[in-house]
Amino acid sequence: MLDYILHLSIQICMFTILAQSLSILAGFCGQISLAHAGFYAIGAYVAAILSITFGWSLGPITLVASILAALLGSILAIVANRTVDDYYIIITMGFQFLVFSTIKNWRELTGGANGLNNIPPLKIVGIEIFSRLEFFAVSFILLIFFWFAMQTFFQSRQGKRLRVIGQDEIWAQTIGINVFRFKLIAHAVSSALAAIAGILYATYSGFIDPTSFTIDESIFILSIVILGGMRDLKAIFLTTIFLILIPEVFRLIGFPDGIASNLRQIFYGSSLIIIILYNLSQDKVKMLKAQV
Amino acid sequence: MTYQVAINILLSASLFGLIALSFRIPYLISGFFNLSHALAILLGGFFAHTLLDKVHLGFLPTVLIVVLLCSAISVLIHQITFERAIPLGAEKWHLLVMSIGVYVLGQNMIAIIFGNDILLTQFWHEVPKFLPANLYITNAQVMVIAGSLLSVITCGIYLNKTKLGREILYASENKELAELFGVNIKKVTLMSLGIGGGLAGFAGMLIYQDSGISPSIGFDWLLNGIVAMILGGLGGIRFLILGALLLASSQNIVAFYFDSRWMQSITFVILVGFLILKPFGLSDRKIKKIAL
Repeated sequence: MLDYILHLSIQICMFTILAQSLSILAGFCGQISLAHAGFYAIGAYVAAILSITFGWSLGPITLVASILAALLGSILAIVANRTVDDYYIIITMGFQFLVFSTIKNWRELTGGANGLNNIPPLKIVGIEIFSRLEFFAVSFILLIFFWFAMQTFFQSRQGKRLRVIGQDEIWAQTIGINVFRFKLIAHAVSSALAAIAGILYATYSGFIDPTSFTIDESIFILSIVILGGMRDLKAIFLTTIFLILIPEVFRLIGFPDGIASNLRQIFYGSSLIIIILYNLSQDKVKMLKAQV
Repeated sequence: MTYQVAINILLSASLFGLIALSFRIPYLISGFFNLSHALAILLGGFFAHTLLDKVHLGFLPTVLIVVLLCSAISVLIHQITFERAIPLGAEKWHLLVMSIGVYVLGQNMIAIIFGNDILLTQFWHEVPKFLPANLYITNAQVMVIAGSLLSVITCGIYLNKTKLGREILYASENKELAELFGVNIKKVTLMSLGIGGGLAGFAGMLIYQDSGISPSIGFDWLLNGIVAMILGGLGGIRFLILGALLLASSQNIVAFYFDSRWMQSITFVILVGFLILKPFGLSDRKIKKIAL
């Protein structure tokens, strides 16, 4: 039972890191991205390949994975800078499909649909993290660290500038904010954090395959961010707990695993519609009150 | 062998063109990327499966029912969701996120009803006898090419030669001006949604007959359709067909000279290349969507 609770807690930590890192883009930068599972995959596969083939330890793996993800994220930002709103989401969707297609089809490197197994466990300063309790401790410390770092940044002068970009890009430009530079950094940081969550996932599960990194996963992460209010890191954490636990509730009721997963998606699909309608009606009420 | 590649290009281009057209008609009027359009493709395939292979209905009645049902459902989705959000001052990203919610909801309901596996049909699957022995094309594929061409041509004639069709075109060009000239925008919007949904449903039916259908393929096909639309630009239907041919040629040439594994990857490469070098597509028609 304890193992099961720890397993869920580790998942909550990983998905909170993923969702909070996406909120840098979606919430603070105004860029709705469907590519986050792609960066998550890059972290997981880099960790798996480097540790299985070359026996690399955590430090260099994290460095390589986050630099690679940041680099690809920056390229995405450069392309995205030439487009606005709708076209941006299509580019991110395309990137997600590109990563998925690569990990599924580059069999020689990624094991294709069969995936990669026997990924060595996490090793920090020579100590192997074997048990779930130890792994939970590591994930939790990382989550708190990133959360604190993001919170500090968002409250800083630069963070407030990023918030202005998210609210009104043209206004941000007119008051002298270098929008492109901020977007570039936001993409790089957000992608690198997603890759770190990927490293955690690969070393925790010991096996990865493409099914964990589909566009559904990207939609799930985006849903957490939107249901969590886009910019509220605490609400994003609570939403993650809620959405991770929902299929477990369905399983407890007696639904088979496949159906429980579909029901979870039905739940957050409908929540997306309801929450947007609710927020819009609240905004409208506020606006009318202000007019009165 | 070159003839076989040409047949494959024609086959892919037919479906890309049909999906691109089905997406473009409502997009030009509503002005946002409605990703729930992928649901109409899925529904078309699954309705066709039920009617052709379960109820054993004939081909033409099936086409009629599939098109009508998908049209009606697209209009209904719009009325229940987007039509409520627009008067509340929804921005494009709100509608886009809602459309993702609608797709996730619908896709998972389909998965619960029909399962997650690919459903195939044997209908039309024998190879026609009039072809040389070294060429391979099934009757279903002949039907895909003929059906797509016929529906694109019929749709083109309808839009250009009928009063309502011309009103749709006027509203696509400039909604405010069209309204000034007496065009009923609400009616035209619903009509464009109905036509788009019907065409997407028909595309889903053709996909089911050619390569089979599963709940996870909606976004893949929609992405190809949208990329074909972006490559063609927002000029006339002929540019859209050119975009579809360009995308299909690139994919099939990559498959022929390199490996079919990389067909999906080239889609993203071409999309990015076009957005950097020719952001307004082949037609070069300037639109507000892209800010350079």
